Amino acid sequence: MIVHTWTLENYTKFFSHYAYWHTLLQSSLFVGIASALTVGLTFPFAYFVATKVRPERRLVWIVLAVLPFWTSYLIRVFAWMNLLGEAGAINHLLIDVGAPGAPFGLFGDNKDGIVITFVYLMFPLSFLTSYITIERMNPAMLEAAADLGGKPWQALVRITLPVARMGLIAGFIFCFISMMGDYVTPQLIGGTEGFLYSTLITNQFGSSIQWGFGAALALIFAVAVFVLLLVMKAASGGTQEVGEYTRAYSERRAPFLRLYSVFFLCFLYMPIVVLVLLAFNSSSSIGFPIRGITTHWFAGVFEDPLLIESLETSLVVAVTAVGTSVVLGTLAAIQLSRSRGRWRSLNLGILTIPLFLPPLLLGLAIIIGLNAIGIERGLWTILLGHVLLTLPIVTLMVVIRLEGLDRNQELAAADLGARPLQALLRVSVPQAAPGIIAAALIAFAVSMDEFILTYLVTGTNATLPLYIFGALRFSLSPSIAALSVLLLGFSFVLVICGLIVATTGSRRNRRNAGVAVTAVPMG
Amino acid sequence: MRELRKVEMENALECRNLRKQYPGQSSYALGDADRGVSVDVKQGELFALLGPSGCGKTTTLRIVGGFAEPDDGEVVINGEEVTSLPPYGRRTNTVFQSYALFPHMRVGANVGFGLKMGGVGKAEREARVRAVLEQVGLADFERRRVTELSGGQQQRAALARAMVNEPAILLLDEPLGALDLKLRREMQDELVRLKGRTKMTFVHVTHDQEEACAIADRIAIMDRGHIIQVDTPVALYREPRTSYVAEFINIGTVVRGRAQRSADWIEVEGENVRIEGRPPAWLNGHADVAAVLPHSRARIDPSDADEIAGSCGMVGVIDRVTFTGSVFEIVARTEEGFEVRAEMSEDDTSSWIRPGTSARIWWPNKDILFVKDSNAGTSGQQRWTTEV
Repeated sequence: MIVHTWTLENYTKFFSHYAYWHTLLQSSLFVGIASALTVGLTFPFAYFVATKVRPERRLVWIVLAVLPFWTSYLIRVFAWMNLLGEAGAINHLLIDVGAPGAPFGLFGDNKDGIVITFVYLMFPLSFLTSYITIERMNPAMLEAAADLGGKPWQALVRITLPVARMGLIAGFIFCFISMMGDYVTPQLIGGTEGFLYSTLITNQFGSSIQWGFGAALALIFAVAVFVLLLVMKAASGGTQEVGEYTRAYSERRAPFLRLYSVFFLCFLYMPIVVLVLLAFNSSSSIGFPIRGITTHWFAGVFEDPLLIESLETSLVVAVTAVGTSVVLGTLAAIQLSRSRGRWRSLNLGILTIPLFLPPLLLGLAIIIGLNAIGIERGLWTILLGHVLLTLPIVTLMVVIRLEGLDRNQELAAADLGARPLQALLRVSVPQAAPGIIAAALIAFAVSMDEFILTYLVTGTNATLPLYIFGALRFSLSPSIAALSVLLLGFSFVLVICGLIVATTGSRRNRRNAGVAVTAVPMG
Repeated sequence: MRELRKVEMENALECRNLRKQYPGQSSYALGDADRGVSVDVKQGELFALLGPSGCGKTTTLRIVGGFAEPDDGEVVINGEEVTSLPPYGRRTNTVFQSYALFPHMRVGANVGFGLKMGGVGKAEREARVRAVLEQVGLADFERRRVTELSGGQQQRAALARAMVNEPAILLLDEPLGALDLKLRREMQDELVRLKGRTKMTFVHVTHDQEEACAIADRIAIMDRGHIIQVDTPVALYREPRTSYVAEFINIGTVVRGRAQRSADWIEVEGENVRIEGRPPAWLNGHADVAAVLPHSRARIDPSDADEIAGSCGMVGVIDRVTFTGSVFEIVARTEEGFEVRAEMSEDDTSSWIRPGTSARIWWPNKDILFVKDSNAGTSGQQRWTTEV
């Protein structure tokens, strides 16, 4: 499979065949449009929450907006399949009413379905990046613009957008990277066979078995990712972190913006409503119309031995990976929160890179590496992958929490006779505990939900998401919907617990922690 | 005579009966259920709104600037009713407390923003920006980034950005609050100089009474959403109307008690102390009266000195003697339980004045001020309340 000699042959192959680089360009364009749409549709919503909602209600809005994303990634896709898929509810509806040319098409085939699903899946990335920059803006700047004669739209174009550009660009790039690396959604929604670059890459490791070429394709992608991240870094700066939106500033009403935001929330909850409907639908095949109400499917969930087994695997993986990450991540965070300067940024950079890399690339890197040293894939390769994914999350969250603490407290402890270790264990760590617990909960949720990387690095073991994926492809039973609803309820409880834990303690930490909890990118 | 002046000098700003309550708050930020806030600012005046935080001064400024809409009342600028006009529709410009400079623009672009919005052509804009930057002492700063400026320079840039549009009223929201003392003094002088040059009307919000006195032509003192007194700085010190004003600008020690009066004489009798003097004419008809013992008029004698006719005094122990940089301030705690202060020049202080010695502190009756007691009916800062 792999020829162990240095060669550029795979790269020449890529650039000399029109079909290959054309796929890259075509994908980039498609994903670029989808990302721009995501950012464009999300921005008004983020703007509304950051500037028009009263400060004390803002966390509620954020949690409401991001909560749907703590459901399994596959389940969200599944819900959209039922809405937009080639046999989905909307196409049924269009055919029923005799709409010509259903499914509706902008990109041909069913690509608009993918775009809508992508917009939905990537919403939190773009929402939180926009939200954070808008909220940090000094609101008096907009007043100053109005005061100097700028009408609202002029203030938007000349002040808000330029100042918030960092968040917009970051949102765009995160969306772009995540979408480029997603090979599952297009496969499940359908309509993009041979169209997207991610599918091209995974095909080399799957049916085509051309690892060398696949690796070359992945490397080209990785280079593109780094270039994008550098672009983002270059575009940063220019934001002034002064002031917060206080009550006095948010009083001007914005009825259209509010209406839009409420509709947007509805859009976010639509798939969840669909799921719940399907789970209680008594029709024996999954899908619409609703024939009656039953709880039969919930009972059926736990009768499937494969499901039980995959759930066990998932729990083992999650507990072990999260345990490892919490120990290593906390230690790293303690060190990081004390270091300064270049060393710190370097370490933070290295630690957080896995957060920005698409799991597709991480997964491929792991299997290529393991293959090179001749190790079989198995349970522990999944573990390794999950530690890689959860470690940066834990480290970052604990660093944020530790740095939110007043450094003088440890100095005070030292002044009162505590040795450095004592000061750490008795003053800082207890205060960071809520952050650590919240980080563990979130890491747990991420691990339980991970599919893209797990699918690549697994041997014969199936985690719950792998089971669901299989079930989605081969045996569509309403039990899947019931299982989804159960998982959904479980995630909601987990996230709300994490939120409560993370926001207890200092008032200053409150909103930051709230954002951090909801901010962890999912997928 | 009075009518004629009014025609000649139309008010630059008239606030009529303003009332404001922020959503979700039970108390009014400005005015109350019974009455709103009204105030007139004359053409070319430097008018200060002075009060502690939460007194409504910033709310007033925001309503004048168009950033907040009053629940009730009107704002009239140069005779034109502008209450519901947006900020970009009225001829006011604001220097914000946080400066609110646009971080993505250079100093020149910041200052020229208002002109650009107003459709002023590039050549004229540049000339005016240069001129105003020179005026505020930032010549040659056009190409600088705002993030490169020091606090004082940012303040000047913000001032230039507001001034360049030649607003009918320039609003200043505690613009000197973030500066150190020396810089603040400099900027105060500069504001007064600018005002002299431009003939613009200034409305200045501050919680610093020294700053207000140093620069303002007239001061409105605010408390809990109401304007208590509007006067020139000198008049405020010479004739405060309420005990709140006397305490806020730190004129003297307030003595509350039961008042007894004849036509031109008044006695305020607190616990163990009786203050008497001549009440101002406007005080007639007010039931709750308090006496103010001005720090600047206090005399100090050894405690065994004879009482001087036509004076009121108390005996107490000197608590501390501080040198404020210009005068000595002697703080004494009297047997009656008051903390009284006497300000003395260096020449007037004798060597016996030191902490721990007892002294008699007294005021000639003519120097004692009588004011309305703003704490009547509520519990005051002092232990004495009127028993009406």
